[in-house]
Parts: sequence; structure tokens; C-alpha cells
Amino acid sequence: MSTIVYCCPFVPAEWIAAHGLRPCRVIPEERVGGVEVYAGICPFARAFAGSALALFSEHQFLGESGGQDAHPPRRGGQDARPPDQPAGAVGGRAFCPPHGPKRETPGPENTLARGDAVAIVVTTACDQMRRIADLLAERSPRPVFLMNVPATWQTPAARELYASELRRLGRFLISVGGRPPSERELARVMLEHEADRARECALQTGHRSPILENVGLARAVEGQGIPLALVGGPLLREDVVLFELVERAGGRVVLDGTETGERTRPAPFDRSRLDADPFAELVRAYFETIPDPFRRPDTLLHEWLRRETASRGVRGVILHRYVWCDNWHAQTQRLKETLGLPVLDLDAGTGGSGRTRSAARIEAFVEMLAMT
Amino acid sequence: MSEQPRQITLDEWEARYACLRAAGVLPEYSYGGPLGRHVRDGDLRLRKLRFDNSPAALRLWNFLLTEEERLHQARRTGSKLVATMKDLGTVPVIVFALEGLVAFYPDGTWWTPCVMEHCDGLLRVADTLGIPDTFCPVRAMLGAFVEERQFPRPDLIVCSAGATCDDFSAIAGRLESLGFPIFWWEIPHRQAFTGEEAVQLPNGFVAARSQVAFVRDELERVKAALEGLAGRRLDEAALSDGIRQANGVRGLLEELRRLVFTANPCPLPAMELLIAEMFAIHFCSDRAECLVILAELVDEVRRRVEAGLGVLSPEAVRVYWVNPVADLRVMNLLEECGGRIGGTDHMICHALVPIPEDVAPLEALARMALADPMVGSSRERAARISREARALGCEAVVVSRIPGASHCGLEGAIIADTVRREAGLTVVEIEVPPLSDAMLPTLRTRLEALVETARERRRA
Repeated sequence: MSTIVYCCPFVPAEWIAAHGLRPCRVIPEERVGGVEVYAGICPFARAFAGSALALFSEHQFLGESGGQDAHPPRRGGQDARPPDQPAGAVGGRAFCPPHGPKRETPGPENTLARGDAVAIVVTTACDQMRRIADLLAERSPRPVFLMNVPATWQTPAARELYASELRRLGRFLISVGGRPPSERELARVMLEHEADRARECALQTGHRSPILENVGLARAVEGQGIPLALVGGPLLREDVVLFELVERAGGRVVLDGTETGERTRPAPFDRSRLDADPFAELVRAYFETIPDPFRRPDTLLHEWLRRETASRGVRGVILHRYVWCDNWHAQTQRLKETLGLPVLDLDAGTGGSGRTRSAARIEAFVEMLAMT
Repeated sequence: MSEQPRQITLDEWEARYACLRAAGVLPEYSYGGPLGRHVRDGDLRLRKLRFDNSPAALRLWNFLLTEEERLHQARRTGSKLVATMKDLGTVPVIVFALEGLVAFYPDGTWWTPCVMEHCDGLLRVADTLGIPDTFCPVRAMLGAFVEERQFPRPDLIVCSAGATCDDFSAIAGRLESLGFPIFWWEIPHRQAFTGEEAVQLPNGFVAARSQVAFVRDELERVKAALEGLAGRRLDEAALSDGIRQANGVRGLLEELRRLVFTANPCPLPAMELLIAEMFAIHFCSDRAECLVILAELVDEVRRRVEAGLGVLSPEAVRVYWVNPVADLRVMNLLEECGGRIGGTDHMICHALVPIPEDVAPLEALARMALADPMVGSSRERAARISREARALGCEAVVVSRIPGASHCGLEGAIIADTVRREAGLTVVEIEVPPLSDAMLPTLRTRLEALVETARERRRA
């Protein structure tokens, strides 16, 4: 099925699906390579470019579908697949981790074959990603769409800019094989995706990362541990080990505030507004509610973190950030000031050695919390 | 008293100043005086620089190095101060059109750690606020806001967001968290959209008409905020006049650049040209004086060109320089290595061309803001650099990375690739920290190699 590859949470999967295309939100893999290492380039941006380009050059990938006609079963009761088989779209959002480990044999419904990916969507939410669009545009055999996501969010003009960018994205989707959605169709897809997200929330038991778990990238771990929040930008596929490292050290992640996690879920749709104008409601749910450090002002992020850490009894925060991610780096000290919790600043560079170092630092952090 | 144009040390300037003063040939201006007094105020870097020896250049330096006093004076005399951040020459035009408001550019503090050789302590303050040296040296601005030595606390802070560097935006976000309210305005990533009319921008880039309209509305919001601060309305005629004044500055800079890039021998050192170009951003807080200084400098350079005089060897290799340097010393270094400036893109190429005067003023400013090379794609910027370097007859290109700047992670490689492919020029990428002393041998070797390569190509 024609698939749209992206990674930014401000690209609504519903909008792509309503155009009859399959949204595939990539969790990139660092070891894919394919893009040179430049000094100062963000490892995630590089990995995304490499993973996206690889989708056009290899035969088969693990993938998930969030399209209207492709909703594979999920964990939590209805899942008929063996436990090791990757689950499908999570909360209506497709996480498409290319190059899965061998143990994760793709099922036919979530296989992304060569030729499925018809375009890449990149946004301006991050300067490095904005610039990686240049590189992708040059190297990708398929079109690349750069969507403006305004950093400001409190003015009607910013909201309208986001809406107009979604409309422009819609025209682009039609140009690569999509069809214009009716209001009714859009509303139907939105409700479907929302139901998926609700199931995802119900699965959450406080000691797992449901999004990653549902795409076979993380496993639920039983037991108790010091409740921690994992906060930061998007995770690479290799970063999933962080959950395991926390648990091994005696902690548990009760709040996944990474970009890959629950922080970037859109707000629940308001049914009456959805009935009246589904597009406007889509814009509201995504643009006005998702907290992120690139937004100006960034108050939504801090309100969300204060609320969620308090309600879940979080005792410490692990901030996972890439070395060149300025938006998250600048939050390190602010998190300490605003949350009043110990914060472990876990800077992630390139390569596995960094994860070994992370393991030691996480152990020390959890030990410190255990003693206090 | 008259002396051949050349570069001189601070000590030489002290002696020359005394002679010029005694001869009564120096023009009188309130911020005048010998350069050495700035060293006594802490501008230690001046001891290691080589300066143009003209009175016009002396005035340029004095104007630059007294901005701090000017801003404190403006506050004392009741002017309202507007900090225009991440803004390369747009909002200051509106600010200066309103009587009683003075714009300044806090981002410019990024040169303070260099000029004061870190004795300012600004970077240490930024460190303590959680903005360490993985960020661009513009983080010095944070210390300046907190300490209020470089400038008083502004009455209004205006900052663009959107298609900007993440490092700057993050620093500005941190500033806001410290109790400095910021008026944000959005600048979208410049694009031309399929199926939509495109607008030609002043420096040749194009943007979708809807983007221009959006930015115009954003600037309307900024204007309203400034009117609120000034306590008066800004009518179109006054804003148009402000644009004409800004174009006066731009016209002088255009002429200065044309003379410097095309004359042989080179009539003005790279460092003085860089400083003059930066005046386009916010007129160094005094638009009227800025016009006087630039006019003097252009006159001086014109005289030299007409007399066939210059400050460098006629054999100097023409180098196109990309991005401003955090350490001014490196501009001297290029010339010591046998190079000269043959073209520049200091990220402000849009601020050096006239603002359109044949459209409504805010429409003109919106077009100008969108023409910023940094709000569009790196490929577009690279193509423009490549075209300009070729047109100016440059023989090599230096891409000067700014440490910790988010655009530098990938942009340098894209520019180098494009320039090599399209202009066939040799490119070197260097990184310049605020104080480059420890790296000077390395930088020297790289620049010498670049110059030698260009000379070899001349001979071939």
C-alpha cells in the first residue's frame, strides 16, 4: 500500500490515512548509516535520513500500518499473534521501524515492501530536521514534503498557518496517489485512530512504554522499582534499551515523556466539534495541545511535565537528549528548577559506547534515589 | 599626516592618533578618542588585532565599541529600548521609525567574549544558567541580560521564532524562563508552493505569496506592540521614511562592498568591512550616526581606489567568506596568509540590498524578512553563494562554522559541495571559537593551504 514516511508528531496520521495512504512514523535505526557523519549533525536526524532513504533501496522492512484498511491486531486481548511478533499501529499512529531484529518476523499485514513508500514528510519543528530535508530532497528518488510547523502557537495566525500547511500537505498527498477525503471520511478515520489511542492508554500499566511495546520494540517488565520519567526527544530504535537499563538498575519508567512516547499524543477529540468540523478539530488536537520544547513559549511542556510527574509519583527524571539537540539541552536546568526533582542529564552521542556509559549513569542515578 | 593605507597595531594607532589630534585633522564626535582607552575598559582583544589606519576606520571602531554607553545614555534620557533578537535588519527599521524608541541587537553580544578575551564573564554566567559551550557563542547574550552591564534591561524584547537556529531559539526560551517576557513573532521556512503565485524577494529568492502575507501580518502585530510602547501610532508615511533611511545605510554598504570586492589592491581590510556590514542589522543603535560613519568610510575607500592604493598586496587571493567569525582576529589571519576578501555572506545578505519602496511598507519588510538566507533551504543559500563567488571572480571559499550553531551541522557540507560542483572553486571549512589563539596554527595552515591551492590554479 502507498505509504508516507515521516517522524514528527505534528504530522497527523489521521490526515494521511484519510487520504487513503498509509502513515508510517519511522523509528530510525542508527546503524543503517547511508548518510555521512558531519561534525555537529544530530544522530537522530542523520538516522532518520538514512532509514528513510533505505526504505527506497531495500526489499523489505518491518512496518506498521495506520491506514484505514490495515489495522492489525494489538496486544491486550485481541492479539492473536505470538508474543514475539510485532504488533500493529499504535493509537492510530504507525511506527515503522525498519531493519528489525531477526526475531521479529514481519507479518504480511505490517510488511513494508520496496515501492510502498511514495514520499517523505519532514517538518520544521527542529532546525536540523529542516535542513536534512535538503539532503533528502537531493538523494531521495521519491518526493520530499517540508511542512512548516509554527513555533508560536498562541495566535490565531499561527494556528491558521498550521491549518494551511495541513491543507497543502493534503494537496501533496493527492499528488502522490491519495484521494481527497470527505469530512465524513476524515471524521471516521479520526475516531478510529482515537479508539486506538484509547486502547493504548488502557494498556498502560505504569511500568512500560506502551507505544514502543506495541511495535515490538520494548517488553513489559513486571515488578516494582523507583518511579521515573524518561523525557526528551525522539528515540532511536537502539535507545529502546534505556527502558531495560532503568529496570535493571531498580527503577521503572512510569512516564514516557520522549517524543516517541505518550507526550506527543494529541488531545482527545471533542465529539461535538468533530461533528461540526473535523478538520478544525484535528488542527486543535494536534497544534494546540502537544507539548514540545521547540514551541514558543514552551509553557505547554512544563505544565504537562508538572502535571504528569506529580500524578504518577515520579521521583526522578531522566532527560535523554542528543548532544546537538539544543531545544532539549536548554531544558536540563529548567526541569530541575520547575519540577523540583533530581534530573539525570543523559547526553546521547553516536554509537553503542555511549549506551554503556548511559547504563552506568542510570545505575548511579537510581542508587542515589534509592538512598534518599 | 597623510599616510599610505595600511594595517597597523594598536600601539601604532596610539601614536598616530596623537599626531592626528595634534594636527587637528580628526573630526569631532562625542564618542571619539584613541582606541587604547577601550583596552583600559577591558576590550583586551584589540591588542592582538591589526587595524586600518584611516580616521574613518577609527571612527567606525569607536562607534562600535561605545554602543554600551550609548544604550545606557538612551535609557537615562528617557528613550525606550527594544531588544530585537534573531532579527537581521527587519524590526529595527520599524523601531527607528517611532520617535523615542531605540533598537539594539542583543545577539551582537556574541562578540563580547572575543573583544574582552573572556574577562567579561558572560559565558560563565551562561554556563551557570544551563547553557554551556555546546551552544553557539551567542549564549553570551544570556549573561548580558542578567548582568545588565552591556545593555540595560530592555523595555520590550522582540524575537523571531520558527525558521531560526535551534540554539538561538533555545537560549531565548531560557531567557524567557528567567523572567524576561518575549514578544515572539513567527517566520516560516521560505518556500515557493506548487500552484501558488510566487513573489520575487529583494535578493533574488522567491517565496509563496501566502508566506509573504503571513509575515506581513506578523510584522503588523510587532508594529502594534511597538506603537503601544511608544504611545503613538506609526503611520505609513513615517514607516516609509524609516525604510528610506535604512536604504540609505544599505546603499552605502552596497557601494562599500562593491569597491572592496572589485578593486585591486584591496582598499579596506576584511575586519573593518565585516564590522561595517553588521551595522545593517540595527544601525549599531544610532541610525543617524551610522549613516555619517559609513559615508566617511565609503569616501575613504573611494579615494583609495581612485588613487590605486590598497592595504594588501595586489597578488592577494580573492576569498569568498561564509558566516561571520566569533573571533575577529581570524579576519586578520586570512590576510596574513595571503588572502583578501572577495565576497561575503555573513548571513545578512538580505540586509544589504534595498528594501522595496514601491510596495506598502510592511509588505516590503515582510519580503525582506523572508529573503533572509537562513530562513530558506541551505541549497538555495549555497547556490546564491556559488553564483556570487563566481560573479565576483573569487578564487576560493571559506565556510566558517559557528561553534554549536544548529545550522552548521549540515549546511557547511552542502555549501562546500555546491560551490565545488557549480563554481569549481576550492573550499575549506573551518570552525572559529570566540578566542582562537590556541587554534591559530591549525587555522593558519588551512588558510595558507587554501591560498596556495588558489595560486597554483592561477598559474595552471
